[in-house]
Amino acid sequence: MTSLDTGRLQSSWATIARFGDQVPLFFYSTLFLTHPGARDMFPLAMDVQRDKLVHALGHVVSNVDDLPSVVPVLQQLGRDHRRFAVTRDHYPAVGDALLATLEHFLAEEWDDDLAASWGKAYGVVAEVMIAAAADADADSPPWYDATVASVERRTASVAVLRVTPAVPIPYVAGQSLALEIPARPRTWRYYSPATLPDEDGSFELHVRAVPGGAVSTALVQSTRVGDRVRFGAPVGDDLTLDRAVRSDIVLVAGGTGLSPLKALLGQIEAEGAGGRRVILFWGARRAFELYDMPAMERLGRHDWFRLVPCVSDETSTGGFIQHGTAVQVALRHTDPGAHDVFLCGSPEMVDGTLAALRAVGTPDELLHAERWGTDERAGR
Amino acid sequence: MSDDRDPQWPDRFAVEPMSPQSVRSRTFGRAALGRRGLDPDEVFDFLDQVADELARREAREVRERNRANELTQALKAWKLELAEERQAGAGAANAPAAPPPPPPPPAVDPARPPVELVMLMSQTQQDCDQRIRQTQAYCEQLATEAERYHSNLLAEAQRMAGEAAEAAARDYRAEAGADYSAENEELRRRLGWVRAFVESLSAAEAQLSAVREALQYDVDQLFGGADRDHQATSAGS
Repeated sequence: MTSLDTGRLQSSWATIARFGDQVPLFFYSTLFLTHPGARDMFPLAMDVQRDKLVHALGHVVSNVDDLPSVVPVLQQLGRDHRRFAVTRDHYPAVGDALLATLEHFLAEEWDDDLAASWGKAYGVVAEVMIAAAADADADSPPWYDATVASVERRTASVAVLRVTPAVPIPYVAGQSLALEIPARPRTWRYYSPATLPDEDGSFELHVRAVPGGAVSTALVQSTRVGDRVRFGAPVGDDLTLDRAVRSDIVLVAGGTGLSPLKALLGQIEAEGAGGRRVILFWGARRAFELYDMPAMERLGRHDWFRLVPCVSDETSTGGFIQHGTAVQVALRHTDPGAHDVFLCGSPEMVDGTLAALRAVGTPDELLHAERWGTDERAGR
Repeated sequence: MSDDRDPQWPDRFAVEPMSPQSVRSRTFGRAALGRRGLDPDEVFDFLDQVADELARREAREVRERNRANELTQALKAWKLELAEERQAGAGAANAPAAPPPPPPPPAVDPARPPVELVMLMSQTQQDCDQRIRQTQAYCEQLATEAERYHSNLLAEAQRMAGEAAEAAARDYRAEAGADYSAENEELRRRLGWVRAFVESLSAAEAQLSAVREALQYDVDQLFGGADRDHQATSAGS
């Protein structure tokens, strides 16, 4: 029985990491050569996948002394892998390919003790992931099949879809779901439902075609009623309503970043505001890009809710549309330290908004942000 | 390995492999007279470049496949040699009543494919990744340009509508005389705005639909083979 030599594990990883992309390349090539069936579980383009693998391995190795911080990450990873149809039988093959890769790059440094240390470390990783997946299997399916019930093209680049899952998906407003479409097999992107589920379990998705984005473009341009799609289990709790510390809430949305915030509004509408006041600053470059105004104006009938549409690239918009980015307008109208702020949009919009809010002294406990909902490339 | 995927889930696309020849010989219909279309010279130049690149890659693929074959053959020969040596060695040591020699151990661990094969596989994957990246970059550029064009078109329509609105109001003031009312001026202004806006959008729409039709035709031609059911008419031309 060898004990885990964490020092050697980490120093050997440092050697490995110097080879960069060659390492995950070698790993996946070995895996696919020894188990050709595994190739079909991965997307055609593998560059993103390779980065993810190295990132995950690096995280585990550098925190191997601190199991309490690694275990939750591995458990989430194990649960996530259920939607890729990964079973416990796949883990030994991955372990073999990993050891072959390490042996190749470590060359002289590689010996039986190091092999035993890595083997043991991988064993623990596999065990934790398999156990978490088995636990999750007990109370939820590995993925949810759904059918596209309607597609509305609202602007040249934005579509609003309604999807009906075969069984209701137990998500909370503000959470995200990984989505796979038949046109882009094994490529998953995160989207946030924009509504609470209807009686038939159906819900709304807001999708912007990111230029060059593989999934979002296909979703907006070629999705048809009746298409079958797949969702993973709900994830993320940064934008759920129970994160709110104060009573009144400021929502800041950029473009289709509206979707999780619209779901929050739906939840407040369904449960009753109970004295809570909500203001939404919804930003776009031009007025015509505000693709969901009728629904937002309908919500505006409630006296607990106020909508402030913001447009940054047009000056004479007329009506009640404000000039400026959503955060600029929000800072003109609200006291930044007094309310919870929920924000969602492109990574640039979220980073810019967080920086602006922090600059005027908004404490972090009041800031609730999510980025993966609208960023095509942010899929984890 | 368990795979309980829904059988209705579509399989990988079954697309004819594209050859340099099929790219070079691809023809396109001409846009109708007076319609805007793509410059044929540019299209064919581009197709030539694509075909050249395809040919280069095919050649490399063949070279690499040959090399992989050679390696596999060499490996087999070496394994055979090893087994024979072992047998000869065992035969020489104890001559008459020797037990049958044990089968030779496998020369390669099944979990450790030859490094050359791994490298070859990696190279192929990298080529694939690079081509996907290039295609995505190209699509990104096209989509970004289209978005900008669309946005500018609207901004221009709004600007022209604004000018037309002021002109309509000016005309009204000049001709109204004693009947002038601010309410009517505002009415004329708005009417002028809407008329001009709709007019420029219609003009843009006509222009766009011509471009769209030409593009759609190209797309149909390109994907005609894979999507014949929907494009029965364009397949023969």
